[in-house]
Amino acid sequence: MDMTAMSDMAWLLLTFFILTTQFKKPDIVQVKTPSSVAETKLQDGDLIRVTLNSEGKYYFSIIDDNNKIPILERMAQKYGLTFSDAEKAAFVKTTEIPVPVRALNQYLKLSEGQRQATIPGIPLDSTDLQLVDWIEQSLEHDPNIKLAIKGDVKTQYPEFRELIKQLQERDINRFQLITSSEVKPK
Amino acid sequence: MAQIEEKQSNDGGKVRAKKQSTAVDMTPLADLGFLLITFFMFTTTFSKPNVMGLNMPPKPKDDMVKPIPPNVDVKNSLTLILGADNRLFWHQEELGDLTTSTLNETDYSREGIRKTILTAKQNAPELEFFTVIIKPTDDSTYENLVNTLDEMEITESGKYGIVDITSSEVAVYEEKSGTSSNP
Repeated sequence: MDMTAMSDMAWLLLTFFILTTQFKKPDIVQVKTPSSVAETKLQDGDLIRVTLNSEGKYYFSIIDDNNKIPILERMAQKYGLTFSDAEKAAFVKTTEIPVPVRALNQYLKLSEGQRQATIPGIPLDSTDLQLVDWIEQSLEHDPNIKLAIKGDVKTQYPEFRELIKQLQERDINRFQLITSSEVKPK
Repeated sequence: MAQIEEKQSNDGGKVRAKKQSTAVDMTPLADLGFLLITFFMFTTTFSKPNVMGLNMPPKPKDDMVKPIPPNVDVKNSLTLILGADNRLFWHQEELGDLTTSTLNETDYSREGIRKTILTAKQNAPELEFFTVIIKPTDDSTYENLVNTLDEMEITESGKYGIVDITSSEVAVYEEKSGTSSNP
């Protein structure tokens, strides 16, 4: 039997799937999101995300690669730090920012394997509101940016309340909570 | 495919190799193609995670005139207290009147919280002012909060607020649930 046509079609479909596949960048922090009946889909693009893991540590990510360097430069200016071009390039490749901004230079020099073990989180308490600064600098860079919060099912409520409270202090009142989907009961 | 005709000639007495057919068996190629398609189809993520909107009230400004709290009939409101270990309590009392006997326990199931909200809604004298007050304790988890917000969506309770729990409620809650955060 002539398999040429079948093979042609198979490879055509293959090309389509290869081109449409977006490989997910590996998540540094493992988070199991709670389920909800919310039907709105998360939009990519102008998005920043705060991840709250089960231990109550905060992580920050900028989803759009184009926003990463300007926001990093703003933070560097605010904290009086400098980043080399190589460090900036490494920063664009990262997903979550798992360390305080002052430790970021050091963190970006680490290899992939070492990074897995270095996830102390970004401080957020009454003495150091670094996480809020990240969010605020992002919003100043692009006022249309949306803030999504990704919490783990086991995250204790006080950690979430602290985040909301500190953001309310800076007049940031609109959030999107990332959840997995669940069928709405009739 | 155009077949190349083999010319039969005897000139020079050369021995020519017999022309092989150029048609290749395409079956393995098709197999490989489908195998790769299967792989990419499984790895492609079509479903994006869902998001739930949450708008909190803006922080009151110092120069803003504080609105006088409206005199709400207690039957128009339902207070949910999210406790430890996925336990859930509710009451419809003034803060001062709350005792362990008026604080009721329920759970996050369809028969529990949903029925509670719907019953309270039916008994509300003014349905348009019916408000659910969500008070998570320090022992509750983020999942509890999301589940509760989800119930607001399911029961179509548009008016709800997340409020810090008061110390008098904490005392009653701890007595009722038998847990104590500071023993």
